[in-house]
Amino acid sequence: MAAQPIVILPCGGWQGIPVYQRSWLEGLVQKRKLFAAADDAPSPVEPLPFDQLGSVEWNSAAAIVMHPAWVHIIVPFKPRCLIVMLHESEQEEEELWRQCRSWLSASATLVVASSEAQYLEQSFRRSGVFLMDGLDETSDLFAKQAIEWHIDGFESDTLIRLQQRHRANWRDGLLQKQEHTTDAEAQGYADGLFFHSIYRYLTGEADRSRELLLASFERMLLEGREQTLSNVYRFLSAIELEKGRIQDAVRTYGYTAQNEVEWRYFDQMTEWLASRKCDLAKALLYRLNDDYRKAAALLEPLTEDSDARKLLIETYMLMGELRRACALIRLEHQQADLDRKQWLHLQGMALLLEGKRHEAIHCFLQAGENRQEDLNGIIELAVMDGVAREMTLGNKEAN
Amino acid sequence: MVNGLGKGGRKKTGNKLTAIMQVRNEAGRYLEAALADLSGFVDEIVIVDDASTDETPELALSFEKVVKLVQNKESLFHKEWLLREQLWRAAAETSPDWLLAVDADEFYEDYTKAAMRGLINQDEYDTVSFRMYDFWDSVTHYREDEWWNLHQRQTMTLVRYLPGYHYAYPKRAHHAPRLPFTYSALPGLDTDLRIKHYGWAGSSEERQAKYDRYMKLDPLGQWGSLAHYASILDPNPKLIRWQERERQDE
Repeated sequence: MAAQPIVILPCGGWQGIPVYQRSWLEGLVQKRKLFAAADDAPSPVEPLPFDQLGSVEWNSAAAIVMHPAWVHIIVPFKPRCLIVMLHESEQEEEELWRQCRSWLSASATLVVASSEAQYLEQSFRRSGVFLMDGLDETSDLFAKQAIEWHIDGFESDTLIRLQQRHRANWRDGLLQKQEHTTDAEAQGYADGLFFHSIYRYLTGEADRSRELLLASFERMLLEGREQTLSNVYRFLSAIELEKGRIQDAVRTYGYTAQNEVEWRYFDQMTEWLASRKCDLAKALLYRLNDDYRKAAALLEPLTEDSDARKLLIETYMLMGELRRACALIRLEHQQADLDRKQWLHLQGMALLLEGKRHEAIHCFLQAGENRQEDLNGIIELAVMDGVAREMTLGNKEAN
Repeated sequence: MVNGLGKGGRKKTGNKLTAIMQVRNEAGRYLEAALADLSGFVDEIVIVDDASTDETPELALSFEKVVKLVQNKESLFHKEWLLREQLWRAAAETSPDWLLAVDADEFYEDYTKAAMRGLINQDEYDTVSFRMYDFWDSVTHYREDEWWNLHQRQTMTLVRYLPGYHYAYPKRAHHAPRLPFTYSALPGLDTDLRIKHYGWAGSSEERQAKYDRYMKLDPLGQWGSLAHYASILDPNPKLIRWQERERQDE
């Protein structure tokens, strides 16, 4: 049964949508009813005023969300399909939008990234992630097909692996062209090797991933790049975990640890290995390599263990899984571990995403108490409200 | 800290220091003195002999601290990176803690030797670099000019051996670095401690012979600078008298 209608929540009116996506969306109108919360929506796309969003039958609708400021509006509606299709900001992302993007992506039923960096980040956090960056037509087709299947109620998981393999091969081809050029360094050859290594990791080709990672590491060192030990070489520990070599993986992490916090993580993993808590050590090491998805999968069956619970709460927070983090904190009465203000803020945000706006505001006020500067939650909510309205207006630059 | 180890699992006490050296027909030069000197401050010595035709292997084995000698039947001189890799692997098989890459004509200043245990028994750094002085025409003066100024920066010759850590050398036929360049990514300590290099301290005839060899091996300056090679024959190089550093100079 096809989910109808489709509602676009854009990032600066209809014209704010990148051209390569706009024409494809316009094509969807032939098969489906398409609305857009945009004052410049072209016919036959129907404009949907901001104040009428609540009138949509969301339990049968699909939402395509293009800016993180929509998070507190769309998530509580619980649309049948929540497709997040955010665009890479040219400017450095503000902390508020980084958090909103994280919460929105965690709530999505499908994520379509517009940049490789965003795509890889999300692939390490959840399933159902596609890339549509306009750089490779075939790759974009996989993403478009996945969205349509998803809206029509079909599984799109098989396309994930196909797109990953295709993208890995695309990277491979690009690298082969660059390898012998004189300006390989300028063309980002070393970074290309690193990205390719991550794709092979995602497709389960650990040996190939290792080979590419080491080639990237060597190349970056020869180019005089800094921080390669923690930014690149450390990922070898995740690859070693995939190969089942946990002792080697922890040792590799130890070589790359460079400050008190990282040395403590190493000591912690060593202690867990000595006490046969291997899954805990593995989970922490996956987390330290930003692979939160694998970390959470290892920890979820271990919540009887207090160390595992704490690590899972941290991991959920990093994944943007506020509701799950709060549930675990409440269940285990671990709020004491968090600063009270921090806990109220977290709880407020979780309530906001459940659509309990007044309860959320109450939490934010409690967090503020007598300190004006601690009213961050209220201020952030006002900013999100304002920006979401702005996103419906055409001819505006996306934030 | 766990299991008595330091930061990131690094061993901070009781570390073994292993000197590594590749040699070829060094019997009549500084090798005996260099091995005697090394025997005074390192724990073990590992050597790759690159198809010597003189008594170099026998001389090497006469030193008790030489725990491993690998002898090549055919020289890898024209594939220096392979020779470096061979030496690295041979040393790795002896379970070292720290590796000191030494040439057969290099001598650590006494002051440097006295500091060596402190440099390796710590958990902050994985590499240590020293200042290398090129002695010229004698063992009393070093050279310092546009082409001969290696001592003005640091050269990495001492590294913590990290099992499983990726090691790689640039594929250079000549002038390949003595240690894997991948170790340069690790936290390192640059010191003002000094090494004396006697490779150019011999007679002008020896230097002429070295120059001729370089020109034969690298006539187009592919692996080094032709101007640098030409400076070997400079009749009036700038020489500075060496002042041995005493312990109280600290």
